Amino acid sequence: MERRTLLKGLGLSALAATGCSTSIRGSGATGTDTIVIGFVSPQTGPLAGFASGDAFVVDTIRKTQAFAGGITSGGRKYTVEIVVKDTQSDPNRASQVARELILQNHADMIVTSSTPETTNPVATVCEAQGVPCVSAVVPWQAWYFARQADPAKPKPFTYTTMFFFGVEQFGGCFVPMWERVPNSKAVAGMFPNDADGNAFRGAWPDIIKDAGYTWVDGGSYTNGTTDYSSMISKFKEEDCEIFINAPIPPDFNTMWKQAAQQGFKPRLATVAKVLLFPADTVALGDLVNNIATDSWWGPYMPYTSSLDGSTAKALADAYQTASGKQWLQTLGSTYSLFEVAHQAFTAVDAPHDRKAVAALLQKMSYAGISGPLDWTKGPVPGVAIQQPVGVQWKKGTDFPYEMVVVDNSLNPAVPVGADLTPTNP
Amino acid sequence: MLEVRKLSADHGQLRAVHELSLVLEPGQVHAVIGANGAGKSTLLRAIAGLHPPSSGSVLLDGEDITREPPEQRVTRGLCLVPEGRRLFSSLSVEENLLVGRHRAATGPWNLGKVYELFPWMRERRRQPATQLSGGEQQAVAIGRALVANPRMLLLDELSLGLSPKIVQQMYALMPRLLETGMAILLVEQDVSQAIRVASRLQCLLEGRTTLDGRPRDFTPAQIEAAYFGLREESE
Amino acid sequence: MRYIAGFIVILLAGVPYMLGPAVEQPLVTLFSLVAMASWWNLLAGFTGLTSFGQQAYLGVGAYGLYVLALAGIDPFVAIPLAAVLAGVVALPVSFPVLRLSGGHFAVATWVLAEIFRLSVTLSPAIGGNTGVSLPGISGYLPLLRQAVVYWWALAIAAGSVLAVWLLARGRYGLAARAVGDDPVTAASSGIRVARIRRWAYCLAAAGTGAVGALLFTHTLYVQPGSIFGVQYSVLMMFMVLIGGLGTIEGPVAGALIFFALQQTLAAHGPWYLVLLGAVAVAVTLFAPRGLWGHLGRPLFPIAHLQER
Repeated sequence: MERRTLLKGLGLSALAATGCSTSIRGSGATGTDTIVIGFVSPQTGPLAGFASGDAFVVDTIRKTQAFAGGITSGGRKYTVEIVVKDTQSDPNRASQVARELILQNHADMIVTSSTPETTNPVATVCEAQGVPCVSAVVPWQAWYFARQADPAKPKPFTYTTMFFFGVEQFGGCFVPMWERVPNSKAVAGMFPNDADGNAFRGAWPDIIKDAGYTWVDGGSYTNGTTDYSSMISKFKEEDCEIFINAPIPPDFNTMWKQAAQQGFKPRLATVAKVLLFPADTVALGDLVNNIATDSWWGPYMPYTSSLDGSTAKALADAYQTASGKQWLQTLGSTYSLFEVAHQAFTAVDAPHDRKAVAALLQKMSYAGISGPLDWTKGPVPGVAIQQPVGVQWKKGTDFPYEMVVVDNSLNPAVPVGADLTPTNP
Repeated sequence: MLEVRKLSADHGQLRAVHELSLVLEPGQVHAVIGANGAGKSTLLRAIAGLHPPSSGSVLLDGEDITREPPEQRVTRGLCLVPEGRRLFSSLSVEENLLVGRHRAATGPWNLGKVYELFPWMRERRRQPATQLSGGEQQAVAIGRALVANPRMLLLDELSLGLSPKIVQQMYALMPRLLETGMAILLVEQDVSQAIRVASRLQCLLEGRTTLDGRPRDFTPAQIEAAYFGLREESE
Repeated sequence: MRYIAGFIVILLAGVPYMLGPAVEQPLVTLFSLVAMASWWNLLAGFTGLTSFGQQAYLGVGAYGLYVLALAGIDPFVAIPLAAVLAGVVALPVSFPVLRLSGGHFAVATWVLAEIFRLSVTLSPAIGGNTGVSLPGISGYLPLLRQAVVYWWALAIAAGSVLAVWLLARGRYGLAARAVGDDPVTAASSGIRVARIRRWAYCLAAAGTGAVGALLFTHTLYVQPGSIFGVQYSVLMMFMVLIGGLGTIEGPVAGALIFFALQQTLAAHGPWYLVLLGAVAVAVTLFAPRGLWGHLGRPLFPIAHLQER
């Protein structure tokens, strides 16, 4: 007998001997006429930028007929309750609120969004407790491998699924844009010495080489560095005209300002992890003009809600009207989390049957406000891939800068809104 | 027998004790007197192991203990009653005494004997040490050192901050301690008290010995001169 | 009184049968607070070592558990092993940090915890900055797993209080309190100060490591930024100070007070932190010996008296 099973057997049999496991009180599904959906996101704290539209989206969802009128499942009508929890950007708290949702609110499903720090603790708790869970806005590699008992030998999860994209989509999104700007074929990379930075530093060189470019690493720096002179002069020496990065936003602001002062003006900057949201652009002012990044959702997406058929543009507009603030990409992701929940609950016979709901999530395929999401074709089980498009921040009409689609190589269904303009002519 | 050979000790750049030597034998009271800053306390602390000397050596029964940590000297029978009593403030009277018993040698002293010496202490043994008066605290500090059964007792500024009456009571104890074969090394500013009990007198000035011998061999004027360093000027 | 405490523990052990996971969950948090505060009190309250870096050993416990579970050991069996590991890690660390005292010691322990955090962040093999899930729990039914976590939490809390009490009322405790009051005089009274401090540091590390491992089995997910957070040390200090420094009941009372405040005030968002701060200031000003030190009689006496 293997040591592992032996030890486990010892632990379990000791408990069984005292008759514990049979008489412990449970708090499982209650079999009521209400379906409870828990929603977890970082509404306060350093990650709050991701979740600034979440309250609006949840409000919108609650008002749709699909939710307000109840969900019919297995020929029976259920009222729907959405319980919103804030992680305060703390993974510990994320795990705690997930447990509260399961034990106190008796959630039938938990949906969660924005960064591994949020989704991974929540998904881990759900997987262990056997509660269906859908995550979004997290690179699938970070979501899938980080939660494995042994990342070298990954095993599919039973109760947890997600939709978003991964590291490979950055290459697929950025390289076509580089191709369209005549340049020196040298790529400057600014990657800090942190988890994301090192992940990108590992993935990019191959992509760059395959595309016929040379890779210039600006050097592994510590988050919070204030002087980027040596990095910038290296980029200038190597005559880099393409710029990529994955820093934390304040570092990018510092670096990009210094680059402008010291005369490093790459033809095209395609950034990751920064400038995802309108709020990020304020600090840079006009320096943000024509910086390119990836976009997985926006009003330019030709998609409609699976709940009431309203368009992506309508959702963005409604948010801008209600809040007075510029639309952001996570609106669509959060909205789709509830679409997925609705799809799952209407398709099963018993919404409180967690196994059945989880099994359905694993093989779902539908189209909603985030476009077609297909869990049968993921890179790994439980993952549906979105195809992002290349966008640039350009001077806008309603707001100082707006995201405009300039490249749709990965997702031709999205119409191009403007020409790709070099970041520095 | 405790022997100090050419011991020097510094406070940073300042030399506080300058190549001092002394010998302490059982049954003796050796009094080190001197003005404030003469280096008396530093000498005592160096002997107790609380101040690392810069040169010289300390020998106990012929064995070099210069580099030994203070707690080890306690087991060898070298105990210090520190300046300002320094009782453990969160401990009761009896607990303070028990700390002294922590690594005690076998011998005549124990808590019962200390309570016989200071009868009031038994009734108040549960009180926090901080609630005692200065004289009572000094008694506990002495008791704490006694219960370790020292062969050499180092007393640092016994009279500091105490009323003359209490000081007299403290000094009245000394013969009873000597009876058991204990030796006492006394550091004192109060010269008159020291002279009365000392079998040997050593006067320090700026870290150097200015006078050394039996008290009755010196006139008060000589002692005063050595104490204040007036010898050269008067000559 | 002590029998009542024992009875309460037995009563609490029955919670999984009588009340279920909804009650277990907050109690696990409470128990981990009690254990954390007790061990911090051994350091600061008894030995005079005010550490700001005990979170280092929460992390070592949690990540130690991860490594042990990865090696195939049942996580619940591995909790005591993780605790021992934390104690062993603390031993070499104790040599440099215990050369310092007071504020320097506090800062050094904090810096050390940050070094631990950074090392984990930069180690992809144990999840880096993203964190890791606890392996080896798939064999447990959720209900049983929660109950086992709960029992472990209860055992660690009760065990910690008992262990610190036994230490404090023994010969070691008297020496430790003397060292805490005045290390120089303690040394000149024959106490081996360095050894007393080293034991306190390593034992507190092991106890805190057990809590770290427990928290990991509870949250099932650990991330360096969170488990190595300095807020844990602030929390430990808060609980011990308002409860009563250097008493056995103080940390327990402090944990209960903190837990009650957290449960009632958490709804008010960040304001609850402001209120906690105000409570701490008020207690330090008006009851410097802590609430228990002022109001309560010791249920677990630590006073030493010669037998007679």
